[in-house]
Amino acid sequence: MSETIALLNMKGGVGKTTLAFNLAWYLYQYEPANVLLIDLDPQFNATQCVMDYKTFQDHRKNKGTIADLMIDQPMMALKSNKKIKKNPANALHNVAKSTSHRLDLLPADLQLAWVVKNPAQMDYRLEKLLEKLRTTYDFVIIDCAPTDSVLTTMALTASDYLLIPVRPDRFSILGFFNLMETIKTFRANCTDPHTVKVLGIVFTQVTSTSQVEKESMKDISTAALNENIHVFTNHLKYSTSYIRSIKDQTPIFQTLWAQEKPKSQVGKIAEELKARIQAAVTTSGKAKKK
Amino acid sequence: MSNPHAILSDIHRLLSSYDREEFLRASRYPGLGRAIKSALLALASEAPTGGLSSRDAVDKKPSEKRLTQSDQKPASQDERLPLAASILKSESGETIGSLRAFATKQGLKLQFRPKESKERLARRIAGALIDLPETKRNQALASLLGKVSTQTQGWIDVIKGSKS
Repeated sequence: MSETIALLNMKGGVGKTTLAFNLAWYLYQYEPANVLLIDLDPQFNATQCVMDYKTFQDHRKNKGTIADLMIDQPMMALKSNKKIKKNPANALHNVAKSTSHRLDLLPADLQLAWVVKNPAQMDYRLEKLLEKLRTTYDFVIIDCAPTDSVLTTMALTASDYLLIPVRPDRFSILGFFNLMETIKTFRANCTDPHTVKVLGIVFTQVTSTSQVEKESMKDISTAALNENIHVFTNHLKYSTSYIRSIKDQTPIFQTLWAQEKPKSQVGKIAEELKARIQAAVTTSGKAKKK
Repeated sequence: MSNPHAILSDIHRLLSSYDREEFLRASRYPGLGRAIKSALLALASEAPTGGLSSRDAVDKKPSEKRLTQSDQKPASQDERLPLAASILKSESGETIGSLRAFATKQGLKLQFRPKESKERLARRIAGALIDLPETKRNQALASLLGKVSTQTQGWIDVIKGSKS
C-alpha cells in the first residue's frame, strides 16, 4: 500500500524541493520505508539534489527521464524509449539502498517542458505511470513545478495527498488562494471518483525574527482554517544549513555541521505528516485506487 | 581594582582557559537557568575555537601556552568536519590518491599512512589547511572550491545542452 504525496505550491521559492528531498530521505532512513521521489518540475532541481551531472548524463542517455515516459513524439524519444515505456522502473535512479529498503528517484529534465506545451491527453499520464511503479513503494513523493499547468493536474490526479509548503510572506497568502482555486477547479472537473486530500500547509523558511512574518503566518493560518485546511504545528525554520546541505546533496539530518534544531525539524514534519495520513485513512476510509 | 576590571579580568581568564567546545558543553548542563546558559553561549562565541583544553592550559608553561594559542591554533574537530566534508565532495576527494595529490600540491606536510580511510585523511587535510597561514589557506581553499564548482559548471552544460 503506497501513499502518494504531492508537494505543491504554484508560488516558486517556497522550499518544495528542499522539503521533498529531505522528507523522502527521512522516510527511507527512519521509517524505514521504500520511497520513490518523483521530479515533476522541468527545472529538475530535485534531480540535481541527488545526482551529480555525470551520473545524470549517463542516466538520461541510457535510461531516460520522466519526460521520456511522457513524450510520444518519436523525434524526441530515446533509442531505448520502447524498453523504458514497457517498464518505467528502468528509468529509475537508485539513491540509497539498505538490505530491505530503497530510495529511488524518477529524474526529470528540461524536456519535461514539452509536456506543458503539449498538454493534450496528459492529465492521467502520471497516474497510469504510477500504477506500474507504486506497488514497490510505501511512499511516493512528488516534487511539483511551481506552475498552474498540466503538470499540476497530473500531480493532482496521481496523488492521494497534497502537502503545501508556504513561506510566511504576503505573496504566499495570495499564492495560497490561487492554489485553493486550482484545487477547487480540479475537484469540480475531475471525472475520477478519487479525490486528493489536502494534508495541510507547512511553513518554511521561518526566521522568527519579525513581527511582519508573525502576522503573515497568522493571516495564512486563518485563511487555511477558513478553507478547513490543517496548519502543521511543525515548521521548517530558515537555516543556511539547508542551503549547504542541498549543495552537498545531503539531507540536513545527515550533515555534520547543522545544529540539532534544523536537523530535527524534518523528522517532526514527517511524523506529523504520517499522523495526518493515518487520521485521513481512519476518518474517511481509503477511497483511492491502488 | 574596580569591580568592572575584576570581572573583565576573570572573563579573560576563563576565555584563555577553556575553548569553545568546553563552554558549549557547559551550556548544555542540565538544570541551568536561561541567563547563565546565554552567558555560557556568549562565552563560547568569544572563545578560541581550536584552543587548548583546560587541562592543557594548566599543564603547559605560560610561554608554551602563548605560542600554542597565538601561533599554532590546532584545528578543533568542530572546524575540521565541515571542511573535511567539502573536501570529500570535491573532485579532490574522490579517491585516496586524489586526496594525497591535493595535499602534496598544496604543500601540506602530512605523512600518508597506509590503510588510512578517505574520511580520516580528509579530516587531517582539513586540519592542516586550517593551520596554514591565511594567504596560503585562502589559495588552497580557492583551488578546492574551484574544483567543487565543476559540478555546477557540469549542470550548466547539461542545461545548455538541453536547450540547444
